[in-house]
Amino acid sequence: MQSDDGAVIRDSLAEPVRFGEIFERHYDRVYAYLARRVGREIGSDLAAETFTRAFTLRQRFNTGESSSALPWLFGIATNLLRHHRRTEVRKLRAYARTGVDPVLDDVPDAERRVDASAASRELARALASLRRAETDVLLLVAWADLSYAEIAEALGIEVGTVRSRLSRARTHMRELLDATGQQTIESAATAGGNDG
Amino acid sequence: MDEIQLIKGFRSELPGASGESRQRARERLEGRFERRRFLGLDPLSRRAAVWVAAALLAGLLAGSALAFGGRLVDSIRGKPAPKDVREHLGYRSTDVFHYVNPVITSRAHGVMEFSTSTGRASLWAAPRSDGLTCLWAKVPMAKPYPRGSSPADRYQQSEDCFDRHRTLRGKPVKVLSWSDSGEPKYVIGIATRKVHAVEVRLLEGGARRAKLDDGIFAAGAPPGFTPVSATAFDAQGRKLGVDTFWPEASIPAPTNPKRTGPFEKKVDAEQDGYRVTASIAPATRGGLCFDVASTGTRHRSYCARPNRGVFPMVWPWEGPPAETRGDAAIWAFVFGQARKGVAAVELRFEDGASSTVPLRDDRFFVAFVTGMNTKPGHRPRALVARNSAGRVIGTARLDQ
Repeated sequence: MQSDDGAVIRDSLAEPVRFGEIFERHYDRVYAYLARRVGREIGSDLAAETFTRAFTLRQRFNTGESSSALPWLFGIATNLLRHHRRTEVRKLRAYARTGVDPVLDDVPDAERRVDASAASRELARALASLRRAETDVLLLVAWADLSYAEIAEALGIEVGTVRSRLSRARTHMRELLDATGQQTIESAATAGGNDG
Repeated sequence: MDEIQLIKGFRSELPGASGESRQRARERLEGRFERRRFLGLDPLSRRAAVWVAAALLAGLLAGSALAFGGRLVDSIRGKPAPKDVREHLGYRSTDVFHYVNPVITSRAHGVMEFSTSTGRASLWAAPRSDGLTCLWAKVPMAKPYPRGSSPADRYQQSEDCFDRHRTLRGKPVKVLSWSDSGEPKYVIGIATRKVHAVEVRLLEGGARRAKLDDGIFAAGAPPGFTPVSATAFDAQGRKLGVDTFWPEASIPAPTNPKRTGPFEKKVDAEQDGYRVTASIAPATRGGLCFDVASTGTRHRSYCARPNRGVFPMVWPWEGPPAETRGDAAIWAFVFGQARKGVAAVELRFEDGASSTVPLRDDRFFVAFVTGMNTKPGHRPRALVARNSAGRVIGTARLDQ
């Protein structure tokens, strides 16, 4: 039976190599989240830094709150992302302007990078205009699949704060999408079917 | 569709981690295992010792002037901004539609310094060519990013541009930006001239007096405290108003208009070798669905609810992006529809020039943007609608 994360981290205090198990369990999810936010290159760098920092700070991991290290790792990742907020916003704005997503810039098939959906462009523009704290909560829900309680743990805030930030982010998104008169949009299938 | 569901699908096609990236990360982590063994020291205790020493030294050097909440002697007020601040404020996009008006960096100057839980923050301002004022705050991070070479590695940055009258909308106080997670937490905002003091309320209880100068205020929160609102007072201490940035109510996600009929071709326009075709279909709730194709780009379909203005629908489209355009020239177009009663539409440019946009069936139109008009200083800025008497009855801005 697999030990829970808390037990592995406790063991890693005496035997550091055991922290490798935490890496193997969670690297893919942490990487996927970071890469979606800032692109594969920076995402890869930040994912590596997340685990390095987690190792350095592992004495602080509070096993009393959760046996999973994921919220803690996403908390570290979110802190690291703060320093790349401008990059993230710049890429979202570029996508909104051009229809080409810089985050997918090294994806081999160039056609995949060109998203014909006006909805996606407006979504990118709306995401770019959110405040950082709102973006963090919204994307931890949508992309990291964390529960409200896990997000609260990750960000060191109350669950009520998570709810209010999420509510605010959604309101903001709706206002922005409404403001441009583009609610949504035909399905992706329609856009794809019209490639010409 | 719920926003969360929309976002879940966004960038979902991004591939997972490559074996190489995983390997690099694993090696970096294992390097830490090795280093710890080699040094025979616990890095946590070494780091703690460094922090304690740094804190003691900082305490000795900074004295009361830097102590949180103490009176801060301002050294930047009214002074010309240094190069890094001017460069930041001067950042300007060069895209055809989504550009910002240039900031007049030669007039960038210091507004104030304020205390935060991580040290002294500075707030700078510069006017923009369209009359707005842009603020930029440099706030020291709790822990600078290890790369440490650029200002972005050492400072949180906060930027906002405002027009006092339009931004305040009759209210006495408005928070422009704030940081409410991690450290430091702070609030920056503006107030009317009759506001004598601004207090920032804290989620955990209590309040902190903001530094207020010339209608601009800023305040840092003590460590572990979260700012939630700003309250304005007049010279007699009477409360003038509150701006709360901590909503509680949950608001349901919007629903989308759905297409209810077949597409019908309405526009087929060509200019300078570029072609735009558009088909229209009805949608629920008074909406319209569009299928737009243009030279060098794929079809784009969308449904939308019309705006209430003189232009129910205005869509600025960039042509093919640089990545797929190759050596071809930049071009763009504006597709839209004018309301009944609009007899003529003109496109106005940054340089003051204008051109007439022909109206087609049902007052749909396509305005092509080519050549010099794709360059900064000459780009399209607004659409203007006139009635049959030639009077201007509405405008729509295109610079976003």
